[in-house]
Amino acid sequence: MNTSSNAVYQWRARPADEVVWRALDEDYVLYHRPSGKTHFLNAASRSLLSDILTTPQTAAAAADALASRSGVAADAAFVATVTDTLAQLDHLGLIDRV
Amino acid sequence: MSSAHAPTRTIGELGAADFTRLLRSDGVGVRLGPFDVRLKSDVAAIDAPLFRLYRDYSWLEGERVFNIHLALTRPLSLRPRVRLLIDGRAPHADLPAGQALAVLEWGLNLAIALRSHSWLMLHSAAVERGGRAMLFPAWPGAGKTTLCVGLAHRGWRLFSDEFGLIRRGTCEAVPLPRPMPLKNASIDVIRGFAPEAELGPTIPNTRKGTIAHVKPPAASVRAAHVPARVRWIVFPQWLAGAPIELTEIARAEAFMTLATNAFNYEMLGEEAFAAVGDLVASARCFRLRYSNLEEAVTLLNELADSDDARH
Repeated sequence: MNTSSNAVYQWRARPADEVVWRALDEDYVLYHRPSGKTHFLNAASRSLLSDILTTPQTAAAAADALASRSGVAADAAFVATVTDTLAQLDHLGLIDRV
Repeated sequence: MSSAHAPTRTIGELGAADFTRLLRSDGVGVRLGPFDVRLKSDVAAIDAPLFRLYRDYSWLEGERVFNIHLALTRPLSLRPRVRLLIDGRAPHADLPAGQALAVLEWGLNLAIALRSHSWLMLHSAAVERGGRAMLFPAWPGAGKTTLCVGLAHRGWRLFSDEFGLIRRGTCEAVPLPRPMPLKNASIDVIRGFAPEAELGPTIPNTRKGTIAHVKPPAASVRAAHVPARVRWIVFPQWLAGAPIELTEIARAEAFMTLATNAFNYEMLGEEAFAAVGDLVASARCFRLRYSNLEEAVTLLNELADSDDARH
């Protein structure tokens, strides 16, 4: 994925009823009903999927929201990390580009 | 699954002569944990070892519905071979007659693996102490059978060296005590560790090397109808010369390792996700690296002791 072109896209989580979450201490596992696959996710990914991408967001906006929730600065490195994470979540079929 | 009828006699009480006669004719009904199995064989070489290994099991007398029909036959062949039949069908090519006992035990594993989807089926050894089960999920070569035999001879009840059957929605392990196949160097390890362990014949040159089956303790066979809640999940790794190390791990890591280990995780789908989640949420999860069985058994007993003291 190209970071600069990603910036113009918006991302939205797939419908909540497509996934089943299980919190295990600080981490999460997720069962994706359409694929039958299980994924191991951290709290940031959980927040992106369950809280932030419930409405369409650009990568930058999603990074801002996540930074705000996490109490960190949304600097370039953070935005790049969030952008990469969105690409992975897209690959897993957990979010859509809209 | 097992019927409600309480079996009254063991294979040992049936006697060796009648056991052999039934193997040759109608078959011998045996209760293996939750499975009712009918065994037939016309391979005389395994009559005596089979009787010794199975003498404590309940003999299922008379007509009934069996879960598994297993037979060993001697096909016409230039070389001495045996043919395994599961429900009348041969699942693989004939194998050397000298491996007949191992072929039968592998056949039972295969039959169980193909039809145990009422449970979450882990590739795991399992033992129990004080009403709490300890699982050892691992792929072949990790030392789970050796550990299992060791603990079964140090006060733990044998559930299985191969199948961790988990009753969904309960976190309960279901016992399936069976003869335990030691491989290669572990045969002498157990002879030294537990001289009282009763071993079947040594079977060389199998696809897994040299094998000898350990008879399951009689008390474990007698209590095979009593499940236990899983308290510990220990992922073992035997590594030559390695210092012993028992490390508690994050539940999410345990979840992913356990899900990968289950025979039927993908088949059960969301139900398996829930069952594995329930297991790791309610158990303590560890990685164990060991090279010395005595040290490993001591450490696992200490773990159970410390948890006992806490409760």
